[in-house]
Amino acid sequence: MVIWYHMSQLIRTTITLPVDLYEKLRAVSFYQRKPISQLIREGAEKILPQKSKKVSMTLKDIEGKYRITGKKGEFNRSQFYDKLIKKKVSD
Amino acid sequence: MTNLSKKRCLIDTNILVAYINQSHPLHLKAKKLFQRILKKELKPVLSSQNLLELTAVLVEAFKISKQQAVKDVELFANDPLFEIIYPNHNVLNNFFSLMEKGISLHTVDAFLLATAMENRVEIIITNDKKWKKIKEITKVLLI
Repeated sequence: MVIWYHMSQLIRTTITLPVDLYEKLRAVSFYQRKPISQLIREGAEKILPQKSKKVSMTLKDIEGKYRITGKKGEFNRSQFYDKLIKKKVSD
Repeated sequence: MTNLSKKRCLIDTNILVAYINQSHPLHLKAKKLFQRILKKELKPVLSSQNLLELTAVLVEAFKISKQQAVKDVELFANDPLFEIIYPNHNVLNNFFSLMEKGISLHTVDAFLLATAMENRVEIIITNDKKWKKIKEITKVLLI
């Protein structure tokens, strides 16, 4: 996953790393052709909780969602199934 | 206002349709019932048959895509407020027994009644007056 940031959205900070971790990062940076700062950003993104893309809907969201007038907007079980059965029998 | 306190109430498909359809003549009454459900004044129960029928209404009558219909129906199916009940072998036996007795309901209503009986539903909330004559269930509430 690559997340691109505009320069104005970035802040500069100083971090302290163990030497061997820094050396490993430097090697990955070389082979993957990515700056070390980008590798650190990618690592940070992985450990932070992901934003939920799915907006959770509730029952309130469906209340009066449709405007269907007349008989089509109502439900009568016997008429509904009778129509279906007649159609099946005539097919 | 009928006392529904903590009663197991089956919400019929016609009420679900009235709730989602703003132009339904009983929309406001259905909305009030759902306000009571949200306040946990009753224990709402839905049968898999109700969810199937609601899906069919959305697709066949409201002309909503099948994908959207499923998203809408899942709001009821996945809401922890509702208990979803399913038919089992006893339901089939109850259904046959109701039919043998010549119950004054449509065949498909009789199957819903059998499912409700097997799952200890106390009240059926519907707008279908035919249910009012039924003695097999504790109470039928017409809205």
